[in-house]
Amino acid sequence: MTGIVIVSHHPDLANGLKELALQMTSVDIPLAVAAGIDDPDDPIGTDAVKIQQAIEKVYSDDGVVVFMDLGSAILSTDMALEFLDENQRKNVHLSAAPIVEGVLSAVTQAAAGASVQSVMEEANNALSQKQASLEEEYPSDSNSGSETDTKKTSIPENAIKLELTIANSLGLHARPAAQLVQAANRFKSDIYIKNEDKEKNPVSAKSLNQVLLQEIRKHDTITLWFAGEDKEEAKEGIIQLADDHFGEKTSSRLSEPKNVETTESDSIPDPDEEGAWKGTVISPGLATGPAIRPSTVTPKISKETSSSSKEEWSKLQEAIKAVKSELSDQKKKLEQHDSEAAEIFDVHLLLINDSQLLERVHKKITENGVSAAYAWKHEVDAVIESYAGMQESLIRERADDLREVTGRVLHKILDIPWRKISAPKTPSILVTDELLPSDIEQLKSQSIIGVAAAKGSPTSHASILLRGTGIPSIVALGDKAIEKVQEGKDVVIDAVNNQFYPHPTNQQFKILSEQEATWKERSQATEEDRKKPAETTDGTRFRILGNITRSEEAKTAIEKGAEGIGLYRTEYLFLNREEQPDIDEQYRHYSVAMESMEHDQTLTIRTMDIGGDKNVGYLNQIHEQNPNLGWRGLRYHLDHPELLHIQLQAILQAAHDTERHVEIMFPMVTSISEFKKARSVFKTAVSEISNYNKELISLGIMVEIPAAAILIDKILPHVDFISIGTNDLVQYTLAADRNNEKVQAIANPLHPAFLTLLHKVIKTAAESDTPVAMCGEMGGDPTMTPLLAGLGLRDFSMSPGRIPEFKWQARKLDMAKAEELALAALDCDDPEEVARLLSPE
Amino acid sequence: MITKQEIINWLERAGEIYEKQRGYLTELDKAIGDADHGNNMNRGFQKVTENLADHSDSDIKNILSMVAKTLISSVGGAAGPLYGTLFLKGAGSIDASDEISDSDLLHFWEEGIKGVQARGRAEAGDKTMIDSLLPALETLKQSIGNNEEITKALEKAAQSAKKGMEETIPLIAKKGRASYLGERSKEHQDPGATSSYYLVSALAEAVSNNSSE
Repeated sequence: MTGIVIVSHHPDLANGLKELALQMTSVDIPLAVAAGIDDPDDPIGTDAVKIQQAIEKVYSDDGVVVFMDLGSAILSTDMALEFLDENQRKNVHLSAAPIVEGVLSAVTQAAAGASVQSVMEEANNALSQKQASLEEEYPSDSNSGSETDTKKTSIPENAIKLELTIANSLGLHARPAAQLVQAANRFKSDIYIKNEDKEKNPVSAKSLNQVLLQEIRKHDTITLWFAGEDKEEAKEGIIQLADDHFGEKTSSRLSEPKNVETTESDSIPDPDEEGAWKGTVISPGLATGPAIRPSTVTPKISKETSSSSKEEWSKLQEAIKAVKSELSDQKKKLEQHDSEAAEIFDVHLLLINDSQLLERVHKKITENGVSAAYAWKHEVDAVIESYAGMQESLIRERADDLREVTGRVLHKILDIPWRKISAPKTPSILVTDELLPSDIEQLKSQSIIGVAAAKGSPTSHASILLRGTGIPSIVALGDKAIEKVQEGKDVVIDAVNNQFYPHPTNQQFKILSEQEATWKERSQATEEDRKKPAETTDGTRFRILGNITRSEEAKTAIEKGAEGIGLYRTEYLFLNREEQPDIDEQYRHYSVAMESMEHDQTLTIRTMDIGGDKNVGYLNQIHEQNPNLGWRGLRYHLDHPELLHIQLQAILQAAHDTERHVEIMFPMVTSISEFKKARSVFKTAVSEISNYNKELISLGIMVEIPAAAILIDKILPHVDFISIGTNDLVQYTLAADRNNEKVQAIANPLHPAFLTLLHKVIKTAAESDTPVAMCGEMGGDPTMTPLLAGLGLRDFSMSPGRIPEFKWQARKLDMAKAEELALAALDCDDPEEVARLLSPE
Repeated sequence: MITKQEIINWLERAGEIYEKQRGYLTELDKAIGDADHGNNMNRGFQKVTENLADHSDSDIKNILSMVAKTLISSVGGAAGPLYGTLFLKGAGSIDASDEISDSDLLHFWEEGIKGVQARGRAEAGDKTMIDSLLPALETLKQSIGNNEEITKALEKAAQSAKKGMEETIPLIAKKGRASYLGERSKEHQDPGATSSYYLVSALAEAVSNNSSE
């Protein structure tokens, strides 16, 4: 396959382009980047040696095409050619195409298996597409660049015809067009395409640029011609692709604009000086003990096979069948206690039922005569790679699911057992590359006291299941953290302080073992008292509530000592799926959460807060420069009142039927007028329920925008309650993104400006007897309690795991001192001064 | 005759000059380019100076090849491959030894500059580094042909380079980013020609200092 090299002054430019280009294809393309120079202070530039290495990396005798940005990129590439072996040099071509358009065209063309000459040609044509699309604006400059468009192609007489109407919402834009071109290139026949609605001339359907130039939009009718020995198969192939909406039917989510998440495992490169690594804590706690590594023997796969294609194909089908039945069993087991988690296995079942994938594997087996295992692994890896390259973490996580489920199939084909966590006799710590959902079931039945994983994220399926076990665990530690850990050697997980010690010194191990014992004792003590109220030494009573994401967690929260739910984030229900949940499904989830409450407890349910860092494809969101200051929360809902209406109906009906007290909370409110609009949607929803009990429902807002906090006195007369969302209120007040490492430290809730705002909100609410709670990170941090209690806060909502410890600490609080502390803090000049007040050392 | 020590002194002197003139070069580049030439040259030659410490046992050819590789990988802008080529081609034209003859030195510059022209496809008068290098080379050739003292020859070459550099002021740039400016590149001295002048004058200084000591 033709190799591609991107040369640029700036690594971001080159890597961004690479990512963009690889989305065009699911085929593994040899593509390398040579960008920037090795100067951390000023990385902009080009380096001929790097370019040489990049070329060598993707080099094959099929040839390499190099794309450069400008100036020294060209000079340096020129120089790199000189460094190359003479035999290689003649196969390396420098493209004069505009770099972005050129690379995208080249990748698609290379993926289709085109020769280096045709990749070069296609890249050079790339400019004409853009010129053609801008032509209308420059009428005087006619004919320029649209040469390819005006060149007449004559259709052979014996060609067969196919007419299609395009249903894709964005027409045949880059990705579906790429699918068409790749499919067309799989056939020997000549294939032509013409957009009948735009009065275009027929062009080759094997060229992406030509297809894009046809400007095929939704509802356009296109004609395809097929001429050649396999024309019937080709027609059939394109029909199938069209039936599948050119790959967009099952992956429409993938084509939506995405937000870049800034906190991912790449931001945690090294251990601290103590040798401890940071990751993402899934479940807090301490654990010391010998490591075990799950036995993931990478199976040996041979490409050749002695059996017939037919036998290989049926081997694969048997394997898939067996895995499906295993998955169904696991699902059934899990369904009894957590139906939402059980749905994870539905996703898995869906993934191995992918007909496109199976078709490709079938083709590989029959046409290339390779073994089923080889064909399966080869095709699956391509899909995994394309998922893994996605920017949105929720989609990337599908790669983990896919890796697991396809791995199981592979092991079945080869008839070797899927990975087992070997039962340790002594309590042990699982150290693994990544945790798979099926591992969790195994963990529960064994003496695993801690988990450390190199990969993972807080919202992955495995993490959700893991959190339920309560085993101290940290994920996303990075590959380096775990790579040298040996089975049987002691490791330490300090998931209280987010530290993983892969190679603790004897001294460290000793100290941390002692801490572990204390932590266990302490957590036992706090656990025992978890249902008792949090009452300070002088008898001030706090109300402790739980933050939950899924309806099932309500039960866990109450079990952990919550006196109600202070924040039910409903958006999880809307994420990670093809279409929005209907009213019945929403009703079911809300009812489950409500039924977990006692009748004297309250559930605060937040209407869908999509946008910001959470983006959902089917909601037709737009790509925003700055999503956190964008179209999210109630702002989105007020533009789509029909969606808000459905959600409110579901909540109201559930509250009505379960007879629980429910607070409905609207997120991202800037002005009271927005609340009033939401309230009128609410009133319509109420009017649709007969015998509605008004006592059950309160309406309020989440105070997370400084505007709402500053004008809190204007808001309070209209609402029944408020809850302070500190995460956003802090970052909006201090203009610092909490996910941006560079400015994270500025987003400090101890900033006196923020505390002043907080004080105003709490005090004004208290004066008007409006209940005020806090549901952000700050509220669940016991070190903040004296300050917050001193400012007058009484209702704290936090993640359920924190409640026992939080209550335990709150009981020791001296209110008089807390009030003194708060007054002193309000008088401070900067957050550092407040921090010194909090922990005088 | 040029000794290894003189070559080392030359490169170190060049490093000092680029450090000192970093702001000035960048200022010149800001007018007609992308304002990075001073930083780029300084970065490249500071790396060269660092690497010299590991080359106490190398011969001159080796040292000059090291300079080429260092500049290629660390300068970043167009000056990287261009100065890299100067040293690479230049080093390729001389023998591996701890001393080189005057005519070897001339070869170094002849081949090096030829390489730069081929790489950058620049002619005299295009408002590039070539505009100070070519006059310097011409003078050096004449002086060595007349059997002049090498210190004298280099001094004259540096003067020619300076003159060439100053003469870039009224020129219209034909190469590099400055060429985008067309007419507007007039009335500015070319930063590349300036850094090339510094390179030649550093050599003149290094050789004359050494012989006077």
